[in-house]
Amino acid sequence: MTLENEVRAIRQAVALSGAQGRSVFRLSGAGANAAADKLCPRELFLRDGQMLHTLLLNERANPLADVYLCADGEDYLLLSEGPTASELHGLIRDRVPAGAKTEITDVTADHDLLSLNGPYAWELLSEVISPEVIGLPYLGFYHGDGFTCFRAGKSGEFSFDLLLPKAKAAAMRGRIVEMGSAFGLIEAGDEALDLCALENFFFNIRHDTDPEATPLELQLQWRISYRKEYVGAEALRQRRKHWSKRAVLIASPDPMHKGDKVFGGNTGIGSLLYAARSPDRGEWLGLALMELDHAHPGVLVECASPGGASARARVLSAPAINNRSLYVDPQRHAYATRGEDKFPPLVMVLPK
Amino acid sequence: MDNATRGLIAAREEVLAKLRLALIEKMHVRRAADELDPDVALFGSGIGLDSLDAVELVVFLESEFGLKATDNDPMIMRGSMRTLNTLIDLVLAFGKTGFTYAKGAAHDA
Repeated sequence: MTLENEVRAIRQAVALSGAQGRSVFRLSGAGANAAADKLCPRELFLRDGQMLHTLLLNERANPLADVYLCADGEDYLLLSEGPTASELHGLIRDRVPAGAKTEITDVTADHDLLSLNGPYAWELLSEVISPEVIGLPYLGFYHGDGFTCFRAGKSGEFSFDLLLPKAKAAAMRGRIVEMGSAFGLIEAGDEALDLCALENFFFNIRHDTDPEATPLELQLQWRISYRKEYVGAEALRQRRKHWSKRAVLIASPDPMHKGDKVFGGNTGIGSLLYAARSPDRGEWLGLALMELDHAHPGVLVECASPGGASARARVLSAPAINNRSLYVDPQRHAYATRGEDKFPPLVMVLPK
Repeated sequence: MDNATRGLIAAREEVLAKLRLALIEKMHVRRAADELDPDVALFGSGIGLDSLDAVELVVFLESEFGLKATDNDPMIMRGSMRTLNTLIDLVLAFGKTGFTYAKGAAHDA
C-alpha cells in the first residue's frame, strides 16, 4: 500500500493503525489524584471519562512525552507517546510525590491499542463495537465490553483508540478489517500518520523535537500552565522572558528535508524540524523553527540542504488541510452515500 | 524583508491583537494574550472554544471587521474558524480593515 493511498484513506475514508511507540499506564490508589496533578503541567480539571492533552517535560522544558491524562473513576490513565514503557515508568515513579500511595501499572504490558482515523471512523466503529461511539465527545472515553474506547487523535479527522487485552486484539483487528472493507479501510503506518499530523500542525514527538524547542516555540502553551510547579516550569518561565523562535508550517513546490537551514534573504533564521510531501496539497510541507520576526503566514523563505539544494518556501496558516471530518455529520452522512454529498475541497484557498 | 511583507506582518499582528483580546474579554478564555498561539486550534482542544463561543466569534467578526457571515460562503467561514491565523486570513481577505495591500498576498489554507 502506498503512502498516498494510506493518507487518502485517513483523509477521505478510514484507516487502521497499530500503536507502536505508545504506552498506557494506570495510576491507582489513594494518592492517584496527587500523582496525576504532580505529573500534569497544566491545571488538572477533569471529570470522569474526560481526557486532557498535555506533555511531560524535562528540566529544560523540552517535551519528553506527548500525553493524554484520563480521569477513570478514582484512577487516572496516562496515554503516552515518545518514551518507551520502561522509560515512562521511570519518569512517573521519579515524579510522583514522595510517600504517595500510588500504584503505577503498565496497562500495555498485557493490552494493545488499535487506532482508527478518518471521516468515517465513527461509522465503522459504531458497527464493530457499539453505536455509543457516535455520541462520544472529543477528548472523552468509555469502557465497553472488554475494551476501552478513547476519542482523541492527531490526524485532524475523527480518531478513536481502542484499548483491549492482547488476547482479544487479534480478533478485534480481524473484525475491523473484515467490516472495514465496506468503508474503504486500509492499514496506515507511522509515515502516513506523521504526514497527517504535519498537515494539521499537530505536535509529533517522533519528529518535532529540538534542544531549542519548548512549548513556547512549538505553539504548545495551551498544554501547560505558568501558574503551576512541575518539572520544566522554571525553565519555561525564564524562557518566556526572552523567547525568539516559533515553529510554523512552511510549503514549497521543491523538496525540503529535516535539518535544512532556513534563510530570510542572506540571514539564517532557523531550521527544519521535519518535512514531507503532501499528496493532497501537491507540494512539500515542513515544520520550521524560525525567528519570530519571520514566523508569519505569507512570509517567503529559502530552505537550504547540506547537499546544496535549495527550496523557496512560504509560511502558511495552520492547518494546511480543510479536514473532511469538519463537514461529515454522523446524523446526516454515511460512507456508502458519500458520492451524493457535497464537501469543500481538502485544500481551501481564499479568493483573492 | 521587503516593505510589502512588513506591511502584511503589521496588518496580521494588528488583527491578531484584536482577536486575542476578544477571546479573553468576550469568550472568557483564561489565558494571557501571549499564551494564545496563532496556529493553535480554536475549538475542541487547543484554546478550547465551544459552540456558544463560535456564535460570539461570528458576532465579533461582524462588529469589529464588518465581516458578515451571510455575505460569505458558509464553507469558507467554517473552514476559516480553525486557528487565529486562519481567522486573520479571513479578515484580511474579506473584512473591512483598510489593509488593502494584504489582499492577494500569499496567504492560503
